Amino acid sequence: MFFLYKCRKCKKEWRYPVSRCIFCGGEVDSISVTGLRVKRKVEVFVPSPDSELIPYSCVQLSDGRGHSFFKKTIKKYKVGDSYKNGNGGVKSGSRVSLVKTKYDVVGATVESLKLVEKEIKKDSSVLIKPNLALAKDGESGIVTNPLVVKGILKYLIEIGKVSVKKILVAEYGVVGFDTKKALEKSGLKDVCRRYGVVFKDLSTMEYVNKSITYEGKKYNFRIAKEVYDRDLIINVPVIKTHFQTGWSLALKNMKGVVDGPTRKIMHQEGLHLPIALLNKLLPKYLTVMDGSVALEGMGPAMLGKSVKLGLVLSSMDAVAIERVVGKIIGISPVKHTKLAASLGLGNFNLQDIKIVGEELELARRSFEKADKKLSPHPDISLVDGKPCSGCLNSLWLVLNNLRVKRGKKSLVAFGKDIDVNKLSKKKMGAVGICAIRQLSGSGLMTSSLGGCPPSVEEITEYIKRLLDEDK
Amino acid sequence: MEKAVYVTGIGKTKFGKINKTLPELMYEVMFLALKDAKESVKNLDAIFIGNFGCSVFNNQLHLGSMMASLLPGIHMPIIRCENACASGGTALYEGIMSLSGFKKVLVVGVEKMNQISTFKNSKYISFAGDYSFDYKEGVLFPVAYALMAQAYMEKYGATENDLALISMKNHNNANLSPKAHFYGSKVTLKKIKTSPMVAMPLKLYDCSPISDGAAALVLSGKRQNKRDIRVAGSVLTSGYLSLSQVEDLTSIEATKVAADLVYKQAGIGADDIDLAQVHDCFTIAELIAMEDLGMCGKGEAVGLVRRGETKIGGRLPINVDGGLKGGGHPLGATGVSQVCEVVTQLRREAGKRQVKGAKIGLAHNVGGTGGTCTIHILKKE
Repeated sequence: MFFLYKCRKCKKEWRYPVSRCIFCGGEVDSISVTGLRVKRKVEVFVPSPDSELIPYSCVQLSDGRGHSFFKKTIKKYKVGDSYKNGNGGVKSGSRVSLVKTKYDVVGATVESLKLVEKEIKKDSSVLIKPNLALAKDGESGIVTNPLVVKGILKYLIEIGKVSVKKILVAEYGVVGFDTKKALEKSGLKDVCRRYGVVFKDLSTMEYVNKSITYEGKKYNFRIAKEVYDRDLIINVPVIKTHFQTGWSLALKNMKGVVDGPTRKIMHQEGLHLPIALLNKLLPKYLTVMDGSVALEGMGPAMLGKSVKLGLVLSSMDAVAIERVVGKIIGISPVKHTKLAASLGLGNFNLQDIKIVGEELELARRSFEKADKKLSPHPDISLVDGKPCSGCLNSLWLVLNNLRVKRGKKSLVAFGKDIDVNKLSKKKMGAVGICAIRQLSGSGLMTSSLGGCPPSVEEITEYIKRLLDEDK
Repeated sequence: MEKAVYVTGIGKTKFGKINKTLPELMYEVMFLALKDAKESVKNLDAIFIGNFGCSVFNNQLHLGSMMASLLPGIHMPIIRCENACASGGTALYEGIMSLSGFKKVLVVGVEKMNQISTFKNSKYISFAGDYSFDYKEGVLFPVAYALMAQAYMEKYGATENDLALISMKNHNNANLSPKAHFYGSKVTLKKIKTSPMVAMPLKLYDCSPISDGAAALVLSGKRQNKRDIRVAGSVLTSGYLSLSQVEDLTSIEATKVAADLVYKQAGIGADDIDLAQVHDCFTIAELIAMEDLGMCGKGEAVGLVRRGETKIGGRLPINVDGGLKGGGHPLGATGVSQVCEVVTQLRREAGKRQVKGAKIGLAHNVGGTGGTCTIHILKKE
């Protein structure tokens, strides 16, 4: 959690991550500083925007070799005490590491992996599954920051000595959106190229059928075979609020390993239960949670607001890590997290979770929840038929882009789960083949746009026509 | 200094909670300085503005252009300089440097901080240190200087009472300076010692206030009249942004380096200084500054304070107008204001707070916990 950067040749030191020495041209190594003791302690009695909880202490930690670091703490340290990572608590139970990124996301990721103490064998084959939902910048909070993946690769290859040939980075983004474009736009392509690691679009690979019975009903999933062929899966979600599920963290990120038709069914079945059941079918995985830049508000995409949270968390327990993230962002556990816990997928009780690294209380930052307002456009209201991500993201993107274009007020339905009887005979348009099927014969559909999903360009023209209807 | 530089005009607003906007403060002080210099704005070649936080305190950047908007029809170079609390000293340093090409320049230091709450201010002021290594770890500026105070007290046996004596002296001096933030305030030693704890061991009255205010200087490469005061030395040095990188918390390296350089430049030693305006953002900073400026040995500053040698009338008067503690600390204005006081003293125009026979004065301005230091030495010819 504390790093120095030192020139191999002339021994000059930095606190900021630099890779080459400006004085002698030598290579600079990142060094993790350990063996810190409390040299001085200041009790602080005035609050400030990022330190509202008072009194708190600020300790000056020293490694005895002339290096000092500051740490805000609510623990009762005395001068001379050893500095302890973590929050105390249980000796066993699920381990969740919590590390601040500061200026070094890669270093923080490596540190969070070290703290979680997951043994990785040299000859392991590894699948890394980031979030590349859409073609967005790596620091948008919408996709995984490539620097987190870089940290994972550094850990695997340089520290764990895992062979590059045995590592695969793979994802299948939102249906209807180009995963390869997302790979490029996020910056992850450059990271993979730099390490010589292969990236694959999971939608082009083989799927296997899996099923699970829950309360007498059978649920079917088509899951990427790759998931079962690997020794270790590393799930790399980004912390996001989600207007349909409350949040999108570890459990939901694994939706990326199922095929398109399965995703649509998951949406139609309300998402929460299918997410939990899917995770029950998967091998146990390691989660490295990207909180470097997160998303609050109307997540999980363009209408959300990015937040520089500055954290990376890791754990072998997906439920526990979600529980800890929930505490940090001030959002109560969502339905699929609770369901996953009830299925035995992890520790839900905080007393059974050992947090190592930063102090949880001091890492908190309340997130704005995703509110229930559906449409980003003032003149287009939406009938929510629980659409899949394809229609959802496309339509939202268009409505957001067109929000300053005013026109005729219209109602538009999307998704399969439309209860025609509850629609009060309102006339509406339909976007996507699911909505068209639902509304056919109802007498309510005034216009439609087919497709599964329709393209952003097609939706744009359709919405423009709706807005211009009376002109 | 090789090239002659003179301060030909000074101006200063009242420091405190001032019900004037940023442009109003800039305009007022510019007016005062030009009037004092008997100079026309049209004869200036450039303006240098020292300001730290206009973006966060006032939602405003591009202050150069704001100044130009106050001078319709004038298109001279106007540059804002930012080096945290040493922004004013930096603007002065830049102004002096520019006289190798220009003939007359104006230096303005300005800050308007009371538009937002103290709570928010504490965050924005912390931008003068490292945001991730310091602020996000709870190291606000009082905390940083509290760490320095603890280190100094451990090493040299200074006490909270010594810090209180410094505060008392500066408040007494402020009551002799009508433009000081705390002018007219009744502050007793008991009030100082019993004030609320901010960051152990620093109490409220160990900390300089949050002030609005502005100060300005007219500089010329030639002497204009008898009241002009010569700039004998001007130095700017840099240091670490985060206090965590400083090994010895009882000293500010940038000040020591600057002091060596400026004394050589001015052809004097520390003993030749008749009065010093030092950067007492917190009382401990005054103790540390005296030692770093070579006015006494390490650990000896406490003795000077206890014996009253730093009072007006003492062997080495420090912060004769109240300094930052009593006079106020509008961040970007401080460095310029310090020089205004030195000039006033050397002109023999300081009234009740006049240091008798003062010929050489020093102004010491620090950014953050030593990220920047400027020292200016002025001599009466």
